[in-house]
Order: sequence, then structure tokens, then C-alpha cells
Amino acid sequence: MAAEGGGNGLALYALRRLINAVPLVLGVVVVNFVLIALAPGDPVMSLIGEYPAPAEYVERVRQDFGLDKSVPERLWLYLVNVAKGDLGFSFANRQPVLDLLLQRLGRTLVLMLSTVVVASTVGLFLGVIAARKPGSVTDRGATGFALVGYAVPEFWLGQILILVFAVLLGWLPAGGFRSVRVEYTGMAASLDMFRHMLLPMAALSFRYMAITTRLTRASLLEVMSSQYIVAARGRGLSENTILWRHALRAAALPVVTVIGYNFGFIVAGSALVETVFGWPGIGRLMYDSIYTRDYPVLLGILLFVSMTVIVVNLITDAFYAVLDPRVRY
Amino acid sequence: METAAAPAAGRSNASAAWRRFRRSSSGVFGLALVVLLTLVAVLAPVLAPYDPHTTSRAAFMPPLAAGHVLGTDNLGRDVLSQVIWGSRVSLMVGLAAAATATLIGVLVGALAGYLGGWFDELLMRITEFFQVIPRFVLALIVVAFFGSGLVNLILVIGVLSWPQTARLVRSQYLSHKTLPYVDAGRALGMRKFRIMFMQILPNAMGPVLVVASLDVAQAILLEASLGFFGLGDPNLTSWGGMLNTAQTFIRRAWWMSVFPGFGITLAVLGFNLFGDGLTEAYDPRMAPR
Amino acid sequence: MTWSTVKRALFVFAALLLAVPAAAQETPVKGGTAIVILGSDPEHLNVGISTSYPTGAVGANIYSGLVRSRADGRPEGDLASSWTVSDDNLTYTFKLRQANFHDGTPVTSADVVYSMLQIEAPNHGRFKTAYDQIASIEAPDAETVVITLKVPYAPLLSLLTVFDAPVLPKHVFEGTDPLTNPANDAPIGSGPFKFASWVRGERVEIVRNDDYFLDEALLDKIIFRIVPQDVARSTALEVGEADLLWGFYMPPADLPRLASDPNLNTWTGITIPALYFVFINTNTPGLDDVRVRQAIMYAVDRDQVVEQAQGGLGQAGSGPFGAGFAYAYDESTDYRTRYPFDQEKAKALLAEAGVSGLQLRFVYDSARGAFAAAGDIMRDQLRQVGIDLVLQPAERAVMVDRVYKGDYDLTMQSFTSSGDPTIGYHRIYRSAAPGTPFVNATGYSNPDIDAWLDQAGGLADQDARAEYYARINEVLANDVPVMVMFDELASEASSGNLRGMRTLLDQRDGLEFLWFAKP
Repeated sequence: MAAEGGGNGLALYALRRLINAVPLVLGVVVVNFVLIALAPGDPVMSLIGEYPAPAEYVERVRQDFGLDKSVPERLWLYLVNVAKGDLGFSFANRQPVLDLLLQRLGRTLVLMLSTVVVASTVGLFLGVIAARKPGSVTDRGATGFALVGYAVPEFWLGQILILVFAVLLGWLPAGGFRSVRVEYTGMAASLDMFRHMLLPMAALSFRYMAITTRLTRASLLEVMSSQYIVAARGRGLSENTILWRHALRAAALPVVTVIGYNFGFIVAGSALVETVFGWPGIGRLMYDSIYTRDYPVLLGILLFVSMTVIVVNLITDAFYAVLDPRVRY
Repeated sequence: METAAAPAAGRSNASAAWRRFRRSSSGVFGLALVVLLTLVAVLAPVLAPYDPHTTSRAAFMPPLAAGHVLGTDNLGRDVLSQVIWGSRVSLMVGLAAAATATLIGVLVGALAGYLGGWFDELLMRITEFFQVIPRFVLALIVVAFFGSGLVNLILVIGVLSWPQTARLVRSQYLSHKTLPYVDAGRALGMRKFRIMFMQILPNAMGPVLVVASLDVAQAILLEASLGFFGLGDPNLTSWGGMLNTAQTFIRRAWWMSVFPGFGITLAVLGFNLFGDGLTEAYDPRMAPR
Repeated sequence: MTWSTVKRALFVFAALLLAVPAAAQETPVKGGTAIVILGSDPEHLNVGISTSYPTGAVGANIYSGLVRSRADGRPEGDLASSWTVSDDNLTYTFKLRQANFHDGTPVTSADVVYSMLQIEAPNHGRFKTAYDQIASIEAPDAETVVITLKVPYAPLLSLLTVFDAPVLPKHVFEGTDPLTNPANDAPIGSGPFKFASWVRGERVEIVRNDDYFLDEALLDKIIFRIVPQDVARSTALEVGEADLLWGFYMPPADLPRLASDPNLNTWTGITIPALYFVFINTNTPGLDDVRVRQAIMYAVDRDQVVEQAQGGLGQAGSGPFGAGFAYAYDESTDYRTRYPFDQEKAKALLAEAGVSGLQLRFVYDSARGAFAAAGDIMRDQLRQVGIDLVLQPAERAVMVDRVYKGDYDLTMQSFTSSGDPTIGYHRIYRSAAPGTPFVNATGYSNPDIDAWLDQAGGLADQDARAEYYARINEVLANDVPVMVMFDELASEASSGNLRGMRTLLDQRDGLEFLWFAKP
């Protein structure tokens, strides 16, 4: 890595990373395209209903969706179109894939981002109170929570949450994105969506919360025993001041890193959780698309998720550089 | 002679590591869970009171009813027996997929780290590719379209899980290849592959085992997730598959959902804690991670 | 008697009057919005080019057909005010009502002819079956449509409903590709509801058409809410987020719970008969022996499959055409008495055929939970007689490909009759070329059966049809190329104050009759 300092170096680094990402994304597209195209079964069968369809109709549908062409030909066309920003046309939804993705994207992002915020905040808090008195009951509780939280499958947790909070107690809706019967607007609409989001968010954030708790605690403990904290103690600063001012800042680094690098997992998790709760986001679109063999949509999602992971990794690296002046590019 | 000293050091490392492992209470607890899981899986035919596939007209029997400790499912199958047999699939897929991932990871990492140069560059690009690719989405597509037999599941999960191991092994090799004992081996005219896999590998194995153990936990989770989506092998009883069925009946038969969920959680917890113990054993600095 | 006792007596009397026949006294009122659950997004809303369930659900209430089927299955006029049939049963003459499309254009016979010839015949699977029997469709004047058949064809009228031959506006479709016309997503029909909006993955809304040619719809609006997760569907109903859930989308397991909910009404029964059955591949070594196929019939407890895989919503298979059509059912060959659950008999037949260690692949659509559960039960029971069943779920496109190219041993399928065995069931048994989807995939071919099926299909007289079906039943009961698992029972759950369901034969049809007792 070039030993340039300052924002200029960072920008150059980011640019180089982005250029490097191009063959990566291309690879993702090609591999997935070929994989799906080589899968057994005729995708046209998913498009023609249950009853024997007239042969001409089947052929027309095949032509309409370009399925009569050879795989390399289709791949080439797809790549050309993607380069132009056209992700193709959804078989099952009969609308452009990009429109479909953008339409669903907002809901997934709302769910994912609020999960990240909640999980990071709670996790950070738990990590700090655990690290304050290592070995205490609080510490053991937080550590135990982190261990179990990391092992619980989110789809099972989702079902248990539905069972307890929607069925048994009736406090929260069991699924969906908003109330259908009443047309809320403005604030009430947001509140209504929030009520629908609570359970999926809880199911999704558990694991993330666990990771953050564990990491915060670990890096805090490491920092707390380091030289400059010992020195700070020597200067007579109170333990709380040390913890919140010095230690937490130093510990933020690995935590940010982990949030960034686990982004791929949270995407997978949201697919599961969206399915359990019927949250109409990207994850559920993916699940539906598998069963309708809607491969333009599947490819679009794979492309989109891969690119997101690349970009988030890049941002995380940049954060790392800003937070830790020792890192040079 | 230094070449002879290196493997010996590996062995004494191992016994020192075991001593440190025993001191880690979470590691020991994890090991206990893993051993328990293994015992249950191996002894399933003896432990299970019923054949897990045997259906009957007595469906939805609650726990403790008519000789069914954990009740029966929608087809009258004994839930306890299914949970017991389900441990086999989880363990088998977990171990085999992690082994596959470790094998690929070690090969790629060793070659990249030791040989370096453009070869390293190429392998790391491929590794990066597998890191960026959405693992769950891809596994879902492959299993949905190409079939969900046990071998398919293992291969898919294994092939999608190796990048972390590869990166780790690569960094191990980068630091080891300049150490004196490796130089000595080279001076003695040892072949590259001998140095890579007979000399360096035993010394780099500790951290690899840690990752492998965590990989087992991840593979168990991934298998369960696929099973939950109805993409497990229906010819075998698996926890994920049980949860898939249970989902439909959650309000009628909570026991169908609760127990397999515990199974997954405990298995994943076991391998995670075991991995923690290994971390402590091989790299005490990383201990409370 | 004091005044207060009189008052009390009067009060009790009044209360009795109000309480007892409350339901009978209700009169339909206008207004309100009903929420109907769909399990998946329609691909588009053009019923003229699709046989898919959600497309039909929305489209049937936006478009009109020439006729519609009453709940008892008899046809009545929809866009046609009346029709006459010639004595040779070959010519049907329909008179049209005065009606307008939702854009104000009048509906004419030209629209009818255009829809059938240009849109439905080339694109609609079921209408194509009818069209194969049709010599010509003509419009002598703006209010008259004449359909002439090549040979007499009993089920013609049931294929002229909105589900098979909807009348689409010619002026919108003419000169365009009907598969990609934008009107497929924002349809213009002449039905009781007008299209309002569609948020994909979420909801489709339709509103009352105030210019409808028959009695106007009672509800102001219907929202079709898309709920892909089956558990969430029953929940939506229970918490009052939806008003109507059809059996097609209902998790059978939830029905008992919904039935016990005092705020909901549930219903089960037969509307349009549908069969669940197992194709037995007669090209598989072993299964070519009729005794082995019979052994399989004996070895499987079909009552248990109905009870557990189908949540009780079915009736164990009684014959090749089920029990839904009296003229096609035969008591003497009823599978329930001919092939009772008898594993000893199965073992004896297998021994007689000299077959042992048979391993069979059971291929099914992985998205169908009932098939998977039936597979679990069959595997267990076939194992008891020494047949090893390997379950091979496959994604739908793969399943269709494998099954109809003959790459399977046993496969479970479900076909709807579409109101007549000729339309829906004959294809199960008629000889078919391998590779054609959704027809006979067993490799079983019997020229007698083929001939009798054709003859039964051409007759309007049910007694005459029954004679042919009896012959077919006799042969098939012995040959069993298909294990008929069960007749499906339809079901429905609705909120307690919703009224007017199932006024027409298809549950999805006639939503204009819905109303709320307390909107």
C-alpha cells in the first residue's frame, strides 16, 4: 500500500478499491447467471399456469422473455443491459427489475438500519456495563446473553416472538408492513409501521446485539489494561470518565469494523425474518422469486447485495482510517 | 537439529494448549455440549424411543401424553425421537461442511501465503469474490434448483464458507515462511510442498481449528435456515425441517417448534464456546473475544 | 299484573323476536370495504391470457363473461341476456345485454368475437380446449354472437365464463400484443368493480362500478391484500386485518382454530371438484406390473393422508373422477371398498409379482406442503410392505420438467375439474405424448379408454355419459395407472359480519354480492 497520508490518499485508495470491485461484480454476475441458466427445469413452465397451455402461447412467452436464445447470447445481452443500468424484466411481476427492487428496497433498509442502530446501541451499552466490573453478575449476565444470542436462529426467535407477543399477549401485529383497514397518514402512519416493525426488528437484532456486546466488552477490557488508561487512572480521573471518554473511543474501532463486515449476515438474516413476518422487502422478494423461478429478479438481488457488501466494506475501511490515525494507505 | 525441533514444538504446544483449554470454563462447557451432541447423534438408534419416520393416527399429542415425552407432530411422529435423530443431520452437515471449508481454505491460504506473487494475487481475488457473494442467497438458489440432498447441502455450505480460513492461513504462512525453522528446511533442500504441509501447517493449525469450530456452528445454522425454508433433505429428520413444519402449526402444537429450536441453539452454542476455548488455548491474548 | 311486569314481558317477547331469526331478517346494505387475502401477487390482471389463481380472483370481478355459473353449477346469463341451442347441439346463439366498459365504450359482439379469437384461443389454456371443438365464432349483428361447434361438446357453457372467455375491450387490445398490453396491469372491463390501484407485493384495490349492467355491487371497495406467508394469512383474519380467506390460500392446519373463533365464520364443501392423485409411472420396471400398482393401492392409508396431510379437507379417493360428478362415479368400483387399507394384501400381491427390494422415487413440487406430508406418510407405509420410497422434492419448473418427461416413479399432482370432467380430468387418463405438461404422465395408454372419454365428452345427456364413465371406471379400477388420493374439499373463512359469499360457483367470482351486516 502506498504510504500517502491525508484525505487525498484516502480518496485515491477508495477509487482504486472501486476499480478493483468491477471485475468482482462482473464475476458475481457471470457466475450467478450461468448457475441459474444451467439449473434444470424450464423457467417457462412457471409462467404458463396450471393447465396445458397452447403450444404457440408457450413459444410466444419464451420469445417474449428471450428464453429461446442460447445461454452465452443471453449472458451477453444481460451484461450489456446491466451496463446500461437495465436489470431486466421480472417474469412473475411483469415489471422492470430495477423498479421492483427500488420499490422493496426502502422497506428492507428501514428494517435493517433500525436493527443496526438498535442492536449497536444496546450492544454497546451491555458491553460497557459488562466490562466495567469483569466477573460480576452483570458481566456474566451480559456475556451469557451474548453467547446465547449469537446461537439462536433468528427465524425460530421470530416465531417465538409471534407466539408470545402477537398470539398470547396480543400486543403487537404478527406480520405485515402496515395496517390495511385504516389508511393512516403522516405521523400515525409512521407509528403504525413502527408497531409492525418491532417484532421483526427484535428478531433480527438479537444476533447483532450479541456480537456487539461481546466485541465491546472484549475491546474495552483490552483497552482498559493498556498503558494510557493506567496512566489516566494514575492522574486520578474517575473510572466512569475513563470508561466513557477514553476507553469507549478506543474500543469503537473494532466495533465499527464488525458492524461493517457482518453486513452480509444481516442481509441473510433479514431474508429469513422478512419471510417469517411477511415484511414485503427484498428478502421476501428473493424467497418468492425462487419459487416462481424469476431469475432476472434473483440476479438483480444478488448483484445488488454483492455491491452493497462491497460498498459497506469500503466505508468500513474508510471509517477505520479516520478513527485510527495509524492506518495508512 | 532445528527441523526436528519444529514438529516437537507443535506437540508440546498442543499439550500446553490443552492445559490452557481446561482452564477456560466456557471452553469446557462447550466441549461438554459438543460431546453430548455427538453422543446423542451416535447413539440415536438406541436413545430414540421410536422410529422418527413412523407415522400414526395419534397426531398433535402434547408432551408427556401416551408415552411421548415431547409429544407427537402433525403426522403422529414422536417429537423426542425426531429431535434425537435430527442431531445427526446437524452434526453431519456441520462437521462435513466445516471440513470441506477448512480443506479448501487451508489449500488456498497455504498456496497464496507461501508462494506469493501473482498466484497470491489471483487466489486472493477469488477469495474476495467468495466473501462478497451473498452466501445465504446463493446457497438457497443452488439447493432450490439443484436439489437438497445431504451431499449437496454439505458441498454448497462448505464451498461457500472457506474464505475466512484462507485469509487466516495465508497470514500464518506469511509470518511463518520467514522463521528460522522454515529457512532451515529450505536450506536442507526440502520440497516446497513438504515445507508447506509437513512443516508449517502443524504450527499454523491452532487458529485454523478455532475458525473450523466456529465454521461448524455457522454451518449448522445455515443448514437449519435452509431447512426452515423447506430446502432440507426430506428423507432425513433435521431440526430445520422440523421447524419448517412446526411453523404451520405453531399455535396448535408449540412443542413442535420449541424443542428443535433448543437443539439448534445448544449445538451452535456448543461449537461457539468450544471455539472460544480453543482461542484461549492457542492465543491467550485473544481470550475474551 | 302490574305495568312493570307487562313491560318486562313485552321486553322479553321483543328480545325473543329479535334474537331467534336475526340472520334471516338481515337485508343487504350498501357500503364498506372488504379485505380479501391473496397468497401471491397476480402476474397481471388479464384473465384472458392466464389461468392463474390470483389473476382470476381479481380479474373475474373486473371483467364479465357471456355466462356465469350459479352456486349449483347451472349457467345463467352474464353479458348474455339469453341464449338458444340448436337441436343438433352444434349452434349456440347468444343475445347481449346493454353494457359499457369502464371507460364508457359500449360492449358489442365485436368485442366478444375479438376476445375469443384473438386473445383467448391462442393464449388461454382452458379456452383453447373448448376452441378445439369450435368451428366458428361469428357476430351477425352488434347484439348477437353465434358459436358453431364441430361436434357436440357438453362443457361449452362452463368454458364461456369470465375465467375462460372474459370479454375484453377490442379498442384497447386491437393492434397490440395482448401479452404486453399495458391494460393487463390496469384492466378495463365491464364487470361489477373497476380497477383502482395496485401496489405490487402488497395490495390490489378495486372499487364499485356504478355503471354496471346488472345489480350494482354492495361494497364500495375491495382490497386484495397479498400475504405470502401462510401462517400470517389466518392471523390477519383473526386480528381483523382481513375479511375473507379462501381455502386455496388457507393453511389446512389452521381451519379448526379459525372455526372455533366466535368472530369468524368458516365453511367447507365442494364447489368445483378437484382431485389430488399420484401418477404411477408404468415405464418403471416393477410398476409395469399391474399387481405392483394394486399393491401400492392397498398399502397406502388414504384416510390418514386426508386427515393429516390435508387437514381433513378431503374425501378419500373413490374413483378415477372422484365423487364430485354423480354421473362419473360408480359405486361398484369405488376404490374405498375395492382397495381398502390392507398391507397384508399388498405384501401378498408383491410376492405374487415376484417383486422385492423395490426402490421408488417420489417427485413433488417442493412448495406444496400437503404433498410433502403425503410423501412422509406414504414412505412410512410403503416401507411396511417392503418398498423403499425416496422423497425428491423439486422446484416447480424442475418438477414439471421431470414428471412430464417421465423421469419419476411416483408423483403427486392436483388437477381441478374446472366444472366438468371433460375439461379437467380426461387429460389424466387419455394417452399423451411424453413431454406435454399437465396431462397423463404415466405412460399408460389404452385406446378403449381414449375412445370412451371422447364419447362421454360429446354428450350433454348425463345418463348417456354415465354409461361410458362406468366402462372407464371398470377398466381403470383394475389397471390403476393413477392412485386417486382424495377429492379436495373447498373451504373458506370470513369475518363474522361478512355476508353473500359463494353466490356463484367459483369462490373468487361474484364478490359484488358481498356485504357487511354491520359495516
